[in-house]
Amino acid sequence: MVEVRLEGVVKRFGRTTALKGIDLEVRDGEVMVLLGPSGCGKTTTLRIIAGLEKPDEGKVYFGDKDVTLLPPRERNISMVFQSYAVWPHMKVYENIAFPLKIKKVPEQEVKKRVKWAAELLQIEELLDRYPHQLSGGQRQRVAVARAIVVEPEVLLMDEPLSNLDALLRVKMRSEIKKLQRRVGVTMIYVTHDQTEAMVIADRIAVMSEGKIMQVGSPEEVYEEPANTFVAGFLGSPSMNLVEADAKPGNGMTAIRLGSGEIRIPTRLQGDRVIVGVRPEKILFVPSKEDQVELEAEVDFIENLGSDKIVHLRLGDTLLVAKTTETPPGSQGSRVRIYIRLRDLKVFRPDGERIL
Amino acid sequence: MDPETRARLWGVVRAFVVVLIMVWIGVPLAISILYAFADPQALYARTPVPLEYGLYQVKFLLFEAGAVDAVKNSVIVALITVALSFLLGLPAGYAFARYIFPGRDVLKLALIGVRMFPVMIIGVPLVALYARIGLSDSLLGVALAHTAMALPFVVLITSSVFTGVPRDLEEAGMVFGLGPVGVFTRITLPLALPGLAASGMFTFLLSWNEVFIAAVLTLTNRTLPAFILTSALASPDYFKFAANLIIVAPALLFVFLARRYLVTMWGITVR
Repeated sequence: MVEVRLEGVVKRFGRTTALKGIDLEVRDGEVMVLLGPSGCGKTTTLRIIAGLEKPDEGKVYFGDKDVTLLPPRERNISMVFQSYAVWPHMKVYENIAFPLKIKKVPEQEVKKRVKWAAELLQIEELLDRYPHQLSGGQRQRVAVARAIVVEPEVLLMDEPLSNLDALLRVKMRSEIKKLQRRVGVTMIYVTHDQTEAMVIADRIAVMSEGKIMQVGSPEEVYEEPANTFVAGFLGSPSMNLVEADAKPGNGMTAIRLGSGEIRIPTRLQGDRVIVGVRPEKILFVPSKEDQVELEAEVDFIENLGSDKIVHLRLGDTLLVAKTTETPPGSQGSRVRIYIRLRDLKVFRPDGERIL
Repeated sequence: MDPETRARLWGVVRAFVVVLIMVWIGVPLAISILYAFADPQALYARTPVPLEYGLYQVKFLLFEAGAVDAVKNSVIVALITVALSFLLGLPAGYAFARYIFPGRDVLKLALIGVRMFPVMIIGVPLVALYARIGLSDSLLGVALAHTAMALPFVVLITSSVFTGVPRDLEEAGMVFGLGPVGVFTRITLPLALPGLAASGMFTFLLSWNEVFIAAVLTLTNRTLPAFILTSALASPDYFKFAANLIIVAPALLFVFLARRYLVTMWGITVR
């Protein structure tokens, strides 16, 4: 177990710059999830930590040791690949035992460790099979068993669940989290699935276009997004982000929101802002806290069973609300909506959070 | 036409084509094998197939005329050719499959371009060159010439075989403790083996069947095709059929055995 640190890591492929200066600190024993849309550089970051790619600039540290130029085998890491990369010419037992045999662990110890890993992942009865005789889920378990059997200092996972069906994915993600707790290894986990990230992560690094947009606990990045990218990427339906005119006044700011106006008790700079509010934070009954009140027209309602998605119209501004209660109006009716001041996020037009 | 009749019609057409191809290849093969064993007299009798059989011409070719030595020479030359062309071609094939380097595409094209030189033109200067460096009439000389002919194929085929080995599997090897050599010998090579064996088989047959260079470069140490070209073809028909059997049988046997072995490797059915 060890902490991992990236300093100013830049990676170029030909003319494109995949990573534009990544600074990241992964604490000892935590699960860091790299989250972002495809092409954001999360897998490249992981591969640089693994040593499968060399950065063009910047340094990678494991603890105090500079490992930037070390090959993968000298880093004491393990990895679960997106394709699992279980070797097809070896039986399951040999696959799991292989890393130990390379390290010249005595035969008795190898047997013990393989048995331990196989039990942990419930694949004891598969040890004598070839990978092509296994299902995707079973192969995935073999890949994880192979990764933990060496007791690595850092466990890297590259979208390990993306090739499983939805049900198995839900089951495996909590299992992986439990496993990590038991083994206590530092884990870096790449995914584009925000729910997976929320469940597994101690902290999430949200990435976009080769840069880290925000690092924080799942609650932090969800509740207090640092910019409009993070705000819009997390949550389903995603956060309402509305560009609006702002009028700074005396110790307050008035913001036009479609046909309505909200007043926030802070003086903001600039006359254009982006207002953000999560769908579930648009309330149909007043709360007991400081709040703003608006009038809106119900455009239409999607019923998802436990949740109802209410599409609202404030003049030419559209908002999406999510509620578990029966919505107060039907299509076409006018309703009053309430947003608590602490649920209002305000961003500069360039996307940076100002409130 | 309803789909069912169309499917049935397709079936008939396909069956017809299959039968045609079988007849095209099979009948001459069957006839020549049959005739190889026919009694020389019976071969010219006015019957649809010869009625009397014997081993006269096969035996004569093998033991009196020296075909056994020619087979031995052919095997030696083919094995040296496979060994040399793999020794040189395998690393090149791997490089083409895994690395992007300047001149890669040009080199690949040049490999095919080499094959555009007619062997006839190279033959004569090669005789002169071999005479100077003491390789004339030697098996090694023939094997070297065959290696030169086979090398472009070996490079291209092995490069496509290596491309078929997923990069992930090699990277997993690197992560779990292997260096570059270990990755190649313990991950890449075993996984590429079926394809490599097939390309080895191809190279073997290429050398086994090559007649021109072998005939030009040797005088006493003839390989089988060169031997047959210079001796059997100047003999009566029944010797030609026997010669045909001697050259085809080992190749058929070899392909048949190798295929059975290839298909069951790693318990996976290989493409």
